[in-house]
Amino acid sequence: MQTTIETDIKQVETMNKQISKKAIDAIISELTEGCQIFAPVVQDGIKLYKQIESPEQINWGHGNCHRSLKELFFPITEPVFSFRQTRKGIQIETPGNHNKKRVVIGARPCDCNALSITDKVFKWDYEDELYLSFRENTLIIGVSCIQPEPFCFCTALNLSPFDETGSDILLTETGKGIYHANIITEKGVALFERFKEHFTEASPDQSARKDAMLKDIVSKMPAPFPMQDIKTWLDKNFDHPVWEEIALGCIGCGTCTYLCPTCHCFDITDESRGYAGERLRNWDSCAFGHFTQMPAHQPRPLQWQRFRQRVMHKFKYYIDRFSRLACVGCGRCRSLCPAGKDTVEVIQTLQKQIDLAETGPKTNKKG
Amino acid sequence: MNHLYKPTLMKIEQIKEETSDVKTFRLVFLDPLLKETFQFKAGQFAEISVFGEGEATFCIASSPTWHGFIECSVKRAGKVTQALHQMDVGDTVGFRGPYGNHFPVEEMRKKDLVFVAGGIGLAPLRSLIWNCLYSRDQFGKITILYGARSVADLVYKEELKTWETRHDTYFIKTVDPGGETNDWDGKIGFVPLVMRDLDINPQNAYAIVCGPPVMIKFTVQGLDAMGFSPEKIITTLEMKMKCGLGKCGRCNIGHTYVCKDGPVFSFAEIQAMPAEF
Repeated sequence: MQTTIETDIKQVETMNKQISKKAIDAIISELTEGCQIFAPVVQDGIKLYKQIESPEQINWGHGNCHRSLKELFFPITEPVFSFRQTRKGIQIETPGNHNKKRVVIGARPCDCNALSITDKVFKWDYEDELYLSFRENTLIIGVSCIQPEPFCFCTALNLSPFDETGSDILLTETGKGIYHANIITEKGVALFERFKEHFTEASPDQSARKDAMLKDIVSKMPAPFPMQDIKTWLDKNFDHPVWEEIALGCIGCGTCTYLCPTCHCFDITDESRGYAGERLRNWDSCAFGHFTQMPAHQPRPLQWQRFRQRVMHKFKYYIDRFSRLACVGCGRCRSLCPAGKDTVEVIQTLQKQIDLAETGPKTNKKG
Repeated sequence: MNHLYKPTLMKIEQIKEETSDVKTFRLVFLDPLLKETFQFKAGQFAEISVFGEGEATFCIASSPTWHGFIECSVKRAGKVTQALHQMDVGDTVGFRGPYGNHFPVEEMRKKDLVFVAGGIGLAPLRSLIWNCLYSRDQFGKITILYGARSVADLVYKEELKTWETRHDTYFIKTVDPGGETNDWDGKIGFVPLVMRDLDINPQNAYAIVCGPPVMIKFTVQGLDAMGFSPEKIITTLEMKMKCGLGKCGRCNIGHTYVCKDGPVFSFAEIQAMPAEF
């Protein structure tokens, strides 16, 4: 199911290097001159990707940030332009903060991989310069998950806690303070070339150790779901009565969509005071009724229909459109849903429907 | 930085009150070059904005064969449309577009055309009707059936008269029962029912339908009963949109983005979508 998709990201033949934590800190310190650095930071008990001034601020702890990496490229709310009514007419000014060079360090592989999903949306047909300019100017140093959290399920979707997709360099901690470094893209190579003296060749031992670690970690994580079968079931069962049951409990708060690294729906609104104001792009959510509410028509009046939309979008519509799943198994929607809805349980329920349809009794009534 | 969401500016040149809650705005690009060169196709839409209030989606209701301006008919229904209704001639609005696909005008040549519209649903068809009338000899028989809830709700009243008096169009107007006035000289009855009595030959013909969802539903049933194949019934869908660019994610029906793959669809295409509309 996870067919590789073509991207503009210039992959190179991966180089295997080794680097110490101390050397990484030195690189980050040097990069803070002239670059914006973003990394996981814990503030008031909440871990988020934030801009940092020095490497000491980085939280290297296991586990993911509460909100995903997407907000660095597709902010929660972002002015698309400001306007001012003058005697000469309306003056429009677009933002100028998109050309700064940025480095992200400490992003988890699921979040990095998710960018390859949002890239597709912002790049197909019309190119969204707001998102793409942030993407272009940002280098991403990912960090493999050597201690996944209970809610993580990337492996269930055939992804890996050591996945390279979306990272320019991927670090894997193979010993205390020692990282294996995959140099993955041209951007990654450029950074490596600049700081060459901090890297050493990865020993075959280290590479072997990394492979063994991955095997061990994956063995403790969920086994792959038959996502192709689920897609086939979804193709035929838009009207299945089980949808109402699956959605039971959903309160339509939109938390899952806000936390989701691949959800990309947005609203465009104006805010003004007097003769000046801003047009803003804000995250929106298919969980909300007003998302599709028109004056005379509402295609999804009920919460279970909105729930179905989200599941369908992740596991069918996006595949139909862009040939891959729109879920990376980060587990945020599972761990933080206030109503206890669980994406893995949803997938399992769908799986049960497939089993029922195959073995009977026939409950697969269309209605 | 130039980007997709930055609108170009247009000036309101003329405002026409169509009904108590519909106004038609004639808009002209401030940029003289754009005014000369702007092109679109019948069926396409635009994002029109009132600065400080926001953007809303409107079909371009003028004909692509008219130059120097575009027209949009706006029904007062929400924040942006309310703000538009309060604007005056000379005021500036933002424009993004044209977006979406268009009516298959080329395939319609040499065919009979049956236009069926209800209420403000005439707006996108008006663009296509004038487009076809511009090169009238290239099309077969043209039938226009237009209905509204009441006489007061009919839009483009002067143009209706023109179509009525032209010898090369067959025009029928109707209002819902109870919506007639004493001097009403059209039919009384719901559009799909009035359509049944018309002399329509589905052979070598296209039917183009736009109106409220319930009208579309019964009209399509009627056309189907007459023998129109689903491929030859064309409609334009209305879904809530924000970006118009296939990004913001709200106008989808299944994996179809109405803003990019539509808004113009054949009924055959709609039948293949999940039953969400």
